[in-house]
Amino acid sequence: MSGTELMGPALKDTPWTFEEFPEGVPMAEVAVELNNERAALWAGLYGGPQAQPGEPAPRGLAVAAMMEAYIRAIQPRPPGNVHAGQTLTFFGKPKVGAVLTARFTVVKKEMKKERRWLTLGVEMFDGEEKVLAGEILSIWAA
Amino acid sequence: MSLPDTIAPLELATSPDTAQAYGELTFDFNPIHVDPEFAAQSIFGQCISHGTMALNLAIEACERTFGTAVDLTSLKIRFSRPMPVGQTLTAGGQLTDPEAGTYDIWVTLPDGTRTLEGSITAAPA
Repeated sequence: MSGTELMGPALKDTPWTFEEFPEGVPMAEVAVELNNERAALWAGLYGGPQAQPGEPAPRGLAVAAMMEAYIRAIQPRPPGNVHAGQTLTFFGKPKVGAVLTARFTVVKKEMKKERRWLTLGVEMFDGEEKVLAGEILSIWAA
Repeated sequence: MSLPDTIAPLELATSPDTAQAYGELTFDFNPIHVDPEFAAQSIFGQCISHGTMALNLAIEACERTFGTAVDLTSLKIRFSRPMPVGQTLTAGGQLTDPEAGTYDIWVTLPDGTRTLEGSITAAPA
């Protein structure tokens, strides 16, 4: 990140509809800490030794943090959205204790067979270092 | 160094408890994952597991297979089938292009149905 203040989540009083998403511009930023509690939840689900503070976190833990950021970034959302696909490129490997910041941009909106296909770009940073980038492909419900 | 030919299988037995725990991990408490009454009225008829629970199982399988010698560098997947809560998921993969470091990866249900499929790239660390 550039060190500037977070844009914050995109919050509304009513659920975000497909038509409302602004195409091509950053629309939300959310920070998530890879804290010890999160590492414990991960180890409880997937097994293996729990990564300790200061140790490299499993890559999937950053992906889980990205999903939390995604959920928090766009609220409220209509029930029934479907996560259809995902691309990711991995860069640095953050450590437990890092605070990751995710930025979301609507890459593409497309109607196909009466379904609302939404492609949301995500970039996630640990300070200035990029951790991951990719696209979340969803069928938006409304 | 050469890349391993396969991604060693990794299993996750899903349950209402794992759905709740994954919800806590991702702040995703969509009732389709954690509310049996709501899910019973949905097109799925029952609770289904979070898609990225399976994605992260595949990522974890890759990381355990690769250890510190190989880095997972990218992935592209689609969630191809719903995963009823209570089913055991198994992640695996197969090297398809050693020069490019490309693997096909998948997550299956016990009957072999692929619920997630796609590819990853990997490179020596």
